[in-house]
Amino acid sequence: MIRLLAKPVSAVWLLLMLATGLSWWLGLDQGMSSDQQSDYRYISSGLIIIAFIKVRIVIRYFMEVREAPLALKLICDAWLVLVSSAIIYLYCLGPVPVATGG
Amino acid sequence: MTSADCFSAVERKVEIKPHVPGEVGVWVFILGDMLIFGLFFIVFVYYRGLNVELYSHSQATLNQNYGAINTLFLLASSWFVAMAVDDMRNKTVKLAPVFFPLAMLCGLGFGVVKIIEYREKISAGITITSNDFYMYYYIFTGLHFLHVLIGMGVLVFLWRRARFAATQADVRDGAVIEKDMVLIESGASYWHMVDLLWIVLFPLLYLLK
Repeated sequence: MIRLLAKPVSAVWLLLMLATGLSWWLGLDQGMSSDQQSDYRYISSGLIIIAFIKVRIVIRYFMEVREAPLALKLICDAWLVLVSSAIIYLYCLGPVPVATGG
Repeated sequence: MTSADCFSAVERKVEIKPHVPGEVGVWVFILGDMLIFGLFFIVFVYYRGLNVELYSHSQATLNQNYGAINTLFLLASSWFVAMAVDDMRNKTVKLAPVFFPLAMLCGLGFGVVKIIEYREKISAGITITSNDFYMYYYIFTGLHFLHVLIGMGVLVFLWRRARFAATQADVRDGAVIEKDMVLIESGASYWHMVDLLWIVLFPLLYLLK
């Protein structure tokens, strides 16, 4: 069992579980006042970035793309970059929950 | 350990060269699926931006704990599958016949939580026609759930191959297992993709504020 846990895949798995815990905690309504609600924008962007880092780890280590030919690595990374940047861009285009600076 | 022992230990392991993990055809399917879900994610965030209030109010009725527990279930299941694949490469095949059923058990846990969640929503009168948010919620999670069900079938197949491989470990120095590795890697890659899609769906549907 110890031998299994010492494998790189197990180490990244532990990291993925911790990252999920962090996202879970960040996503909870942490009693922010309405003035602080614009901070949600940073938190939400962070949640998206964490999710796509997790996805890259799954692709690289679990799906073993790190052992794959360069073409497959590039296709996967292109998907990651395009989808994550489109999501963050569209999310940030949306109206700010609470008007700031006024 | 003598050098002869070292040599035989290396010999026992299926050699890993840079290669597409599994069948190329399966990867075409996986990438196609990722492309479609990628478009789903983008469409969802775009329409969310047009009516943030409706999406936020609807999202507040979702139980984040269900989403998070299901992420943990799928991650655990992926780990069992990754370990089982690694074990099969060793040609001795001891853990795989146990780890594939454990992965299925995690998949089952995901299914049970999903059904509890759907029941709660439907009994509260929330259905696919309630509003745009719930339409996307039901379509995305429903399609993903379909992938989980197909994946469970794939895991049954992998389990059967692993059990067969365990009986063949000493036959022709595991040549039978080596032939099977392409199938095993294909099935495992599909299951990991199911996990990957949920990793993005969870924050998009349950957490984005």
